[in-house]
Amino acid sequence: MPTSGIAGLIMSRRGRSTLIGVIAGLVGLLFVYLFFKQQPRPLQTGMVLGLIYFVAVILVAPRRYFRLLALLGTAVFFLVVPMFMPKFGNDILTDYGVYILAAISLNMLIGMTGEISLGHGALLAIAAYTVGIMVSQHQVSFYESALVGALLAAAVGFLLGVPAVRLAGPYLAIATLALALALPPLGKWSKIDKWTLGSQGIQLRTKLMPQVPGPLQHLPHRALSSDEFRFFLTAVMVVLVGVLVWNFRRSRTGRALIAVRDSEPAAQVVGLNLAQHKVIGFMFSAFIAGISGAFLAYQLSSVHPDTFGLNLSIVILAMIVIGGLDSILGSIIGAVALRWLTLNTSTLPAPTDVPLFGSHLPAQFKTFPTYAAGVYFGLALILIMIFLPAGIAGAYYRFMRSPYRERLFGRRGRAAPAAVDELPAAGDSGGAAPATPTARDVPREATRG
Amino acid sequence: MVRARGSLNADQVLRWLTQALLIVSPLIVLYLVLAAMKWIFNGDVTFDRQYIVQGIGQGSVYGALALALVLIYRSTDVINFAQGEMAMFCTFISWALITQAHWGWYAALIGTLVFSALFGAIIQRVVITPIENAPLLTIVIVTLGLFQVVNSFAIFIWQAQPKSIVAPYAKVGAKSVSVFGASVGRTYVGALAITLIVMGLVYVFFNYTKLGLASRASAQNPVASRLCGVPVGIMLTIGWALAAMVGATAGVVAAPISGLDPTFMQGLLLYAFAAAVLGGLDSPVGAVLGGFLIGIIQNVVGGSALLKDIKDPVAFIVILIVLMVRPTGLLGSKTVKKV
Repeated sequence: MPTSGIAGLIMSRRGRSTLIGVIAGLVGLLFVYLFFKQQPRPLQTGMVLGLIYFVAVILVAPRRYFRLLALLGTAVFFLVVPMFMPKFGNDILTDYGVYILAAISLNMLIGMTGEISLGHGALLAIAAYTVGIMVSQHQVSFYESALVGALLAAAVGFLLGVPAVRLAGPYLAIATLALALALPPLGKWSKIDKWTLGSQGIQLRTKLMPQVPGPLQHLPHRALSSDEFRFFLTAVMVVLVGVLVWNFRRSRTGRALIAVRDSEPAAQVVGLNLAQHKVIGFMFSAFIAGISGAFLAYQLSSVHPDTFGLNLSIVILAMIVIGGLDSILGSIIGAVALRWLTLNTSTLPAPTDVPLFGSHLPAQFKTFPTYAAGVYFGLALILIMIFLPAGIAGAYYRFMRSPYRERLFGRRGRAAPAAVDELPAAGDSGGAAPATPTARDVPREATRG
Repeated sequence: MVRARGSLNADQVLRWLTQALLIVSPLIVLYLVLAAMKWIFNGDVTFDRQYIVQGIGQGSVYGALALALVLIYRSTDVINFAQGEMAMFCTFISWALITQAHWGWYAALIGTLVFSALFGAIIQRVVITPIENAPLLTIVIVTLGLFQVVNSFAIFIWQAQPKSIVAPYAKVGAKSVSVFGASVGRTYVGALAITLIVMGLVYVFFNYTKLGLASRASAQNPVASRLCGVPVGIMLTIGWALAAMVGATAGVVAAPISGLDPTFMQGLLLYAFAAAVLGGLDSPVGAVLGGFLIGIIQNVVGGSALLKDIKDPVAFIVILIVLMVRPTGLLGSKTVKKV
């Protein structure tokens, strides 16, 4: 290793990884602060109250109620906060929700089955266009057409899974890239624009889109507004899909997919059909991608070919890689982080804000975040890949397993109850090898709180 | 492997024939697709000589960029999504040399090549070395990140307005020349000529120089070449520098055709990928031929009034079909995975 030569003189490997951890943590905190500062008032209040609640739970409540109380707190948070938010605040939360769905779907494919896809935007496009055409031209309700769209996307996922069986990694990457490029522009093709309405896109502002249901329009104080309802619907979908994927991962098929990912020969030896499982992985992932595509159409109230360009596929990929592979928490972190970054590039710190040398830079660097947002985005990708290859969630899980955690927070499940609580947890994680903290055997950890 | 020269056996002839068939097979696929299209849409799709000649001219740029991709893939197993942006950056350097430092076009080309070699080497050292043995996804993400960084920097420095470069070979005489009864723009002919020269140089480098031999060896078997005393790390850096130079050449000859702005390489890169995959990611000859094929496909499809709007989708669908039939591209070798 050429790099270890000089750096090795200054610091031990362990020291270096601690330093990297500290720097990453500080940068993370800076971004959390920027994120916090940018939110609407009610969300800020909610976040502070939520933090207090969680600290209180950790300090006071018995360990075995952690999970329950955490879920309860999260549910209350997302039920109450949107009621106080301005419309744009809820729209942004809905936007995060849609991208979380998309990220979960791609993370299911890449994290769980190990197949690579650069073309998930195309799957979203198929479902979104199905919804658009069925709702605006055939008077089908949103829910039914979303289901049809997701099933159609799954069918395309099947078509994508078949070559995936034959293609090696890089070829598959480029084949899926070809799909991402080939499919969305079809929306502009003049031959079929009586359905797709060409490059002006389909508008979806009809009664057939989800409306606030009757009972919720006659609440005691005020009716539920449409943006609040839209957020709740998306949130429910995120929870449903999250639970679905979570359980799928622990099902027989899910475990088989992971086996195929980790070693194809070994999976074959235990009698798994590689082709069948890869195709299942693609179809399931495509189905969820279809759901997120339908919700994207719902959230935007329109379907437009430019929404689904190559950029969308790449952004979704970046989300899961930054967040952490094969982890629902990772999908959530990545989706929120990247969406927020995309929506608020101008609030990023400019090079001129850097202490010491920043003030010597020419004045034009003040506009750097606005004009060169891609530099932040790209640098984040590169640095995270080099220093935190398992993503943010992966780094978090690794920290939770590392000796540093004990030094900082003491042994898990403090003092007396430890002996009792350690037992079910240890039995629970039976198969996972504790010696190798990778991003994979992790989501289980997330629930331990 | 030693084979007697000059003796033609049936085996060899058969192999050549298969290879020739493979190379033209996308054309056959394209023909079938178009025939189907023609039948469905009462179509207006024709294989015109004009399109083919024009396509080869246009395809030479794709081929050059694809060659750069293949060089990097062969030596470091990296699919470089940033190749196009690196080339774009280098092209801007040549533009700056021409318009701001008042260099001649050819002098600027040489200056750009020097710059691009340094650029490629530095990127390999700083960004690629730490992830050398990482899984494919990590590498893809890092090069995508690099793509963003280079692209944004270029936009920041040179703004998004398109700039124009006029190549000297486009200035002499008439705007277009006639080849086999088809007229082609001079910029295309110049691009083709420069691409062919670069290809020849790359070929000579790899097959007739010690350095080329060493770099081929270190790509094929790093451990054994290290044992033989080849400095593998330096060889990989040289590989990246070389690829960056080839890519920069593609950019410099493409700029007079398409105009120069920070996004001008993105479309080209995608076709270069298509070309590289079509030809086989580890075959330099395949990459260039793939480039020509993509160029021809694009022109033929673009010539039809009906399919003009969707010529990119058609090109990519042809690639998907080819990959379904031949998963490692037309001339690519089967990869053997070690367990």
